[in-house]
Amino acid sequence: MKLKIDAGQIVNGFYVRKVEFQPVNRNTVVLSENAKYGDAWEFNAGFEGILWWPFGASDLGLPPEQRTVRVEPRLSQAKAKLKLIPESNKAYVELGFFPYKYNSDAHNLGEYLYRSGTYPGVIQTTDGLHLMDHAAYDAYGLHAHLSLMDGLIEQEFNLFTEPNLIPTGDLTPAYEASLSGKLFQIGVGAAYNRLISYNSASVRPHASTDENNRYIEVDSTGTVLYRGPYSIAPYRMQQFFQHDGDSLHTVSHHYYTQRGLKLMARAAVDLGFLLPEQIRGPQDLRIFTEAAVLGVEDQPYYYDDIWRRIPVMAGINIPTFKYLDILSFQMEYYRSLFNNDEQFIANSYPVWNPSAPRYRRDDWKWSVYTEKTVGKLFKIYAQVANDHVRLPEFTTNLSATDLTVKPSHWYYLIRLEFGG
Amino acid sequence: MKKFFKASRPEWLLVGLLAVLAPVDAPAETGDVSHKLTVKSFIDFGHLVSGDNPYGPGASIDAHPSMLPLNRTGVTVIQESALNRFDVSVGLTGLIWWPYGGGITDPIERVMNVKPMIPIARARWQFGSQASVAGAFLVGTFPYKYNPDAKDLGEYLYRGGTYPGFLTSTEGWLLMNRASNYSHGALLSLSQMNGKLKHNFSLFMETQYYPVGDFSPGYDFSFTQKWFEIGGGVVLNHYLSSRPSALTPKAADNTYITGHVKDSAGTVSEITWLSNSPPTDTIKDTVKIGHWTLKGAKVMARAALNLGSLLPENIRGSEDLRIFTEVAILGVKDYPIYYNDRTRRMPIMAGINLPTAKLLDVLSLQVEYYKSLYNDIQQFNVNSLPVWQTATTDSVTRDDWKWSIYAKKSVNKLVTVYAQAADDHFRLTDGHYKVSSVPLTSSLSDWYYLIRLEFALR
Repeated sequence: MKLKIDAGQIVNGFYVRKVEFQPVNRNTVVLSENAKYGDAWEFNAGFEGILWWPFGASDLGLPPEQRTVRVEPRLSQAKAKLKLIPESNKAYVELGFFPYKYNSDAHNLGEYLYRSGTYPGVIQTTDGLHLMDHAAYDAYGLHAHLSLMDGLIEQEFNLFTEPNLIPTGDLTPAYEASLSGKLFQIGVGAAYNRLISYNSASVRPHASTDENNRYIEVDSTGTVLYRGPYSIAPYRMQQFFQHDGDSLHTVSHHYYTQRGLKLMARAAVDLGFLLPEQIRGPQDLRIFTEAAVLGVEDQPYYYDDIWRRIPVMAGINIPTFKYLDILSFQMEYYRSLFNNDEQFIANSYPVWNPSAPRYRRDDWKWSVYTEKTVGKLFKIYAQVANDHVRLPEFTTNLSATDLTVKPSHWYYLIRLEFGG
Repeated sequence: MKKFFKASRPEWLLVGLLAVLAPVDAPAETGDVSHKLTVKSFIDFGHLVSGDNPYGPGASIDAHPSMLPLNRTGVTVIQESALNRFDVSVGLTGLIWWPYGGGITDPIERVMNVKPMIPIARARWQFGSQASVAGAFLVGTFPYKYNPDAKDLGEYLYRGGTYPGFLTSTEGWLLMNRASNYSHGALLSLSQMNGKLKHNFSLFMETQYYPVGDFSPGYDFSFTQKWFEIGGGVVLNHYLSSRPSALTPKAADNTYITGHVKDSAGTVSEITWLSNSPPTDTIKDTVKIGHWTLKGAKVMARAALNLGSLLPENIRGSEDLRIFTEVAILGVKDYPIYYNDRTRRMPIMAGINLPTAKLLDVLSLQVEYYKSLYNDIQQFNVNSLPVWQTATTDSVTRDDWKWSIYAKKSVNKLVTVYAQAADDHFRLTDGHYKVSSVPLTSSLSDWYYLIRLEFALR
């Protein structure tokens, strides 16, 4: 059983309008149970109730359904685990619904391989309901783990399904490997988004009504005049498309696809040994980094520069003389020109919103995270950040852009966690 | 930075309180954690026998609902864990309910719904000793009740609005046993004189009405003796606001003008009028343009006489022959037009627990007198303006008197039966989280009844 009380504010942000001192509160109740059967089987199930408020709750004139407190029922997990070597975690398979995390250093930023989109490369640090201490992917599918050489090499094989976006149910196979020594850890991974699709046509929406997912290429005697989204093409280019070109111009049209390969690499160095044991916390002085490619293949306009699809995170756990369990400082650099995924949320089109402004000032993100265990049943967390925070509106859709987009934007959160 | 700390005062107050209190009696590492699981279920059956909805007829809304079924079913699971003097209590409820859309409406307004709820999610530290000063600090979400005699009517301090001073007996989902405040925040309770004198310091957050997230500090006390109990309290509504400027909306419907007018006889007088409803006399000048505010202070006083000892012990129930009263002022400060008469912002409740020779656990009869001229909070409900709606109903006096009869009977360890018949501040919720802007029992002939069977499964 757990109770988590979150309180905080978006101190300075922007979403359609200036956001200032926007209260952000959550109460989460978790009731869970574990069971074992023999030496090989384990079962975990948990039910969550989350007290939350729709974003925009402080705006004058909002009708009750857009501001009143809600309770969202969720499952914290529902999985079965089969140990292939009884009473050992060296090799096992787990199946069901569970939070999946591969990078223990990513307390807020990072964990790109599953949490981020491909096309578009949306990065989320919260699902809007779990605001902190949830830098994991809520996976629905299968995970297999194999540990070799006494834990020196660990491998993960995943097959996760798409839970929310059309077409739901597509399968994403993924593989990760990590090498962990006493003083360092390195890891790599790859995930092929929607490689196995039950409705391939929907992975690349291409009906005549899917205009917002269409891109055109207009050629004139071997020179490309335009290659990009039809919806924002110059009028003359649109006219070429409408008339199927002319004697001097050839036109072709294509559609963006959600399917794509993501890659990840990470590394960490553990310099805690430099500190005297009596003042050293177990995670002190770890320096870590993670980078990913969100879609290896280029597509026109939105995805024509692979360097703009590479988020890079780096951080350090600062020593606190055992006063805190952990004090983690992270930074991220992601020079995507886009931030608004309204078309993706509303229509599952694998494109950014072309009419939204280009974001150049949001390339740098930062986050400070800390935990403190006070007693057997009580723990305190705090987080201050300018990250990819998005909040759910009353429709439960997340806001189409991050709320912290400029360097001056930031928020804070405090969590009281009770129970064990 | 100054602006930041000013706007985030409530959060820092909470953290500061915790920083002080938690180490004082922080859970010791010794001792086992004890757990207790409670599972309850209830079934409500009843009817709104006769009601009044001024928003009908029109748009398929029924103006006079009659024999409207009131049914609810719920299952509640509460898990408690305790370690020494620290305990955590969390719960989840699944409620089967029906939205009230007012008549024959879209499916979303009439089909059966299942609503998840969190009845309790709080941590508590207990400290001190009864011999000197004992207390408890609670943080989280929990029902808070200060008046044990208020079975339906009463509990004005936290349940009543300020500007406007509306009253509710139910938020529209759960229909009975709601005479408490669903609080989100922190509470510090202290008791002295062996529990006879109690103080409660509250810091609760606004969860439903604009601006959501504001904190309202409150204090109430009670002094209990064998024969009587007295209590009082104050709540400073929205006094800790993250956006103070938002407490006084500048909308046209929230604007009043004070100025001088000249009538046809040439007499000049100073009056106040709504900005969108100017006077017919000639306006000479404008003295002041003002706006109503959501911020305000509420005060409460209550008393009870415990005459149960006059009854023979073999026929005396624990709550028999208590005579009680509660009065409040919903907004101490006067404002023009809607809030210019403080006596019209004073609900008064009185009641008695009738002896039943132990046939029932309690049989409570309550009456209330509240002479507010208004009862429609549509402007507040939909547009978050601190004014009454007068377009539909104005100068309402037929609803000044309210009554309620409440009974409880514990049949055995597993089953408890409740019954309630009342003409109170009964409101229902539609399919879009909107609670009725006007109580559905608005005249003396309106009333409803409810019967609840409650089962303790574990």
